[in-house]
Amino acid sequence: MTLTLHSKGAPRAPLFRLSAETIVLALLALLILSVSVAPMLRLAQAALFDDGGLAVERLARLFARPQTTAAIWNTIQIALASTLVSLLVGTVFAVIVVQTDLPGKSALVFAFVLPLMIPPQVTAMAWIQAFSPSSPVLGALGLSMEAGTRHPLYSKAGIILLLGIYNAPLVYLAMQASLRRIPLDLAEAARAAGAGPVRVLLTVILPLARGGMVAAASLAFVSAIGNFGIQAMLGIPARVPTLITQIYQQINGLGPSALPNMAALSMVLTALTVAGVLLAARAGERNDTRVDLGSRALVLSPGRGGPVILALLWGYLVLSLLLPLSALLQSSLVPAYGLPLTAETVTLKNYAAALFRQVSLRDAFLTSLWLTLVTVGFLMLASVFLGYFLTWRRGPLVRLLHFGSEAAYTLPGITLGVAMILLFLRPLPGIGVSLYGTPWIILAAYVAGFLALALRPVLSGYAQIDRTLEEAAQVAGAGFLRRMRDVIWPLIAPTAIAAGVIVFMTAINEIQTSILLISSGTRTIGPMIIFLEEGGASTLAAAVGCLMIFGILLLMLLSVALSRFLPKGVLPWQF
Amino acid sequence: MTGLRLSNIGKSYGETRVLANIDLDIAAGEFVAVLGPSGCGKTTLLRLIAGFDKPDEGTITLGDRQVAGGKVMVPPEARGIGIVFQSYALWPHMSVAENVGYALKVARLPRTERETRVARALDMVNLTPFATRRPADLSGGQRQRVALARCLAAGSDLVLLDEPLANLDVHLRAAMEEEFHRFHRESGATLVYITHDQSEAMALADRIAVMDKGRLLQCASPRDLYREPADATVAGFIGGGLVLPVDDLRPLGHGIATADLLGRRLRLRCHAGETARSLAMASTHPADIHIAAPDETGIPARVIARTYRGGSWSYELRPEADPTLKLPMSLPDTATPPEPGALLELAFRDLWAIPLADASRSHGAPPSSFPSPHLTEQFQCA
Repeated sequence: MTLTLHSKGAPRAPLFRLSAETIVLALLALLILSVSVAPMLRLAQAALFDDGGLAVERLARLFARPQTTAAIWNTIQIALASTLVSLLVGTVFAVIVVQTDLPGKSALVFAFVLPLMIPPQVTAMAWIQAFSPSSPVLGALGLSMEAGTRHPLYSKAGIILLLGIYNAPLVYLAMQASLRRIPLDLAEAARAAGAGPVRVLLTVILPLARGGMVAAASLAFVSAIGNFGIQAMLGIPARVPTLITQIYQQINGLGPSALPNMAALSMVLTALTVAGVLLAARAGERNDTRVDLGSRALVLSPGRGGPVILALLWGYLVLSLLLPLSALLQSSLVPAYGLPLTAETVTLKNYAAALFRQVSLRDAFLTSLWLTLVTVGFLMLASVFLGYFLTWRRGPLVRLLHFGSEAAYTLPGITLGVAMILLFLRPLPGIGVSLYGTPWIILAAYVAGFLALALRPVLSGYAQIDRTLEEAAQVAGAGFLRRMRDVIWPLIAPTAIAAGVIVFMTAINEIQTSILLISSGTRTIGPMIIFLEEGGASTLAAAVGCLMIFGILLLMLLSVALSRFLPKGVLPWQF
Repeated sequence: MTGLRLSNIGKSYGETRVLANIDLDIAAGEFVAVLGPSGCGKTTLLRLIAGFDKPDEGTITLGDRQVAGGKVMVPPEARGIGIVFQSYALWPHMSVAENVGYALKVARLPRTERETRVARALDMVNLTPFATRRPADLSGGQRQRVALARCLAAGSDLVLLDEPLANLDVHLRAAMEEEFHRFHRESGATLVYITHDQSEAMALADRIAVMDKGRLLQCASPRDLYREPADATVAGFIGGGLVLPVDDLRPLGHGIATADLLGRRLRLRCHAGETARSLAMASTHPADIHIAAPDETGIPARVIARTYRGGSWSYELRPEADPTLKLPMSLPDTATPPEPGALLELAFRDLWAIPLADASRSHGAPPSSFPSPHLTEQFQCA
């Protein structure tokens, strides 16, 4: 498909060729610039400028407020402390999985990574219910606290603990990749020099993996800053304000008039995120990068310590995963919160209500479903095309698009939400209609926020396609779209579908961007947990949470079944 | 039938100049090998001809159609050429027959004609029984033949082959060379064969274009390349050639000259238009060095080392006149070969006076700017 445009005066030479490739690239650029880059610019503008120029006075007042300084301080404290927790748990886990020959590692990894896929608000609710004075599980174990005691998780320490545990799998994923890259002979040389397993670990393996550790810490830090679900579910009742909950509460309470100040707080959030990312990037540069000598790692046999380590690992998983989830499950099966689960009390009415009877829930679920499906379809297409350009047609524009998509993904979702409101509150030029209050603004936010999520696996898929396969098709006479359909798509499809599954799992329960963008007419299912919990409908909220987890588990198992068609490293939960 | 003409092609990637002033004219139906070490720019040249890259300077003409240069840039899919990639580039999700017939499908040929042409192409490379297989189920040689059949079926008049034997076992190469000859004969296509292996190029090509550091040094038939290298680089590269400095070169006419080499006045072959000069370079090959006959005055040289090669002895000699030189020589198997340290009298069976412009360049002098008609003639042969 080649359109040749002739200029009026000289019909001989084509002025320029508008090829299908150029059109596709232009559409991608238009999309990414309008949903990722433009909102960010608008956010910065709204934060820093008022009608009269630089908003020095407004910003000075904002940052003089005690609640602002408290929010910033709390955010930094919580993010740093929870990063330490994640680092500890994730590193220990990674070392054990990569460096030992313990049995049942696949199951361990699956169980350890699973919480990462559960929406944070569901995790928070499960923990709240498990460790509350009227906990169904603690009660059954005879450990229940006295009624009326303050809930231990409604505190700064609670937030730190939960965020730390929630982000530990991120650390594990980064660390295991880094540990696997350490050449086996370095560890073997240390063994030959007489060092025992523990000494090898402490003096050779971990020092060599420090680059991975910094990267992991950065991931955990950035993720902790931007985790709305846990900060809101624990922090709001505990009255521990953080940046993210401040932004949510102010916009929720004050409406659009709070936007400029909240844009400024979003910028602080952004600055913290960028600082975390840059730190990791700098550490990465100084890292001693060695040639990967294959994926063999030194296997240290824990010997008689094996059963003890295994017991500790599974114990951790019981405490951090099974206990909260079983509390959630029990709550979802009783008619009223706090009732013990017995043969008489067991009921499915919460599930019936969640699935069929509650119109608002059903509508929210359907809205989420169609928004997610459209996002998934759209992003699979966009990421396959963008991946193509990024892999084989790199140029300044393509690089900018990549940066834009990565930025929109890395920044906390609430920042994206604020930016979206700011950009789309005003009526669109030409149409005269504002997208705010419609599902389309949520769709735009999903597309912006998850493009990088879809792009990453697709890029690793492209890296494994031989370029000449495309060139051979080109030589055979196939144009751009034809090659895409006949050659590229069949080769990239498994990866693109896996990317679609990952986006689906993330978007269907998305909370923090949606919670700012939803209106009475269009709600999504992610924030409903918070509304239900706030409204006292804990058992119904538990049922919705359980349904979310079932759905996620189903999709994870589906993707594992798909895994033999996938290049390595596409699925994070694939061992 | 499509010939190929490259005029003054230049290409840079950033600061790096990868191709400069490439002029090459290939006749329709000719088999030309582009020979050079890795990094010499031969793959870039192929990508420019195919249309994957755009030349910074110069024009490319296929048949009588200009496909690149100036404002013209015909994309690869509209050039109608065939490529046999080093990796074969067979689409793993298509059967052998689908791979072979893809270009015809893109061109929207009627199904029956497509099937006939695919069947004929597969028959020509003896792959008919494999038509429904996937590329993954084929051996290396079979994949290579599928790639050839793909060009045959597409009816490409110009086929580019990018180091097609590099990924094959040594014992398969001879068989594939025969396959390429047959392909050339039966398709009648113009073939441009990229390789770094000179024995491959010698065995296959009508002409060989020798490249080095982004320049085309010489394009000539294998025999001319061997016997009459255009410059010292080609002379040293082809057939393990030797380049020796000579003094007082004097052409005698009829392509014969005399010059002083290692203290002796010797006869050389030279260009018809060769000019007399005090300094020149001569090229020869190890096979042309032998022990002088008893009635000949040879060049005295001492044996430095000898190695038994099975059926022959190979020698390393140091001429008395110039101890910095080392000359190789091969002697037939004998029970009493000359010992290291022995003084031998050497003679040359054949010497070639390397023409001027490039001989002076190899001495480190800047390229001469005066016209040298025989050189231009050599670069733009055919």
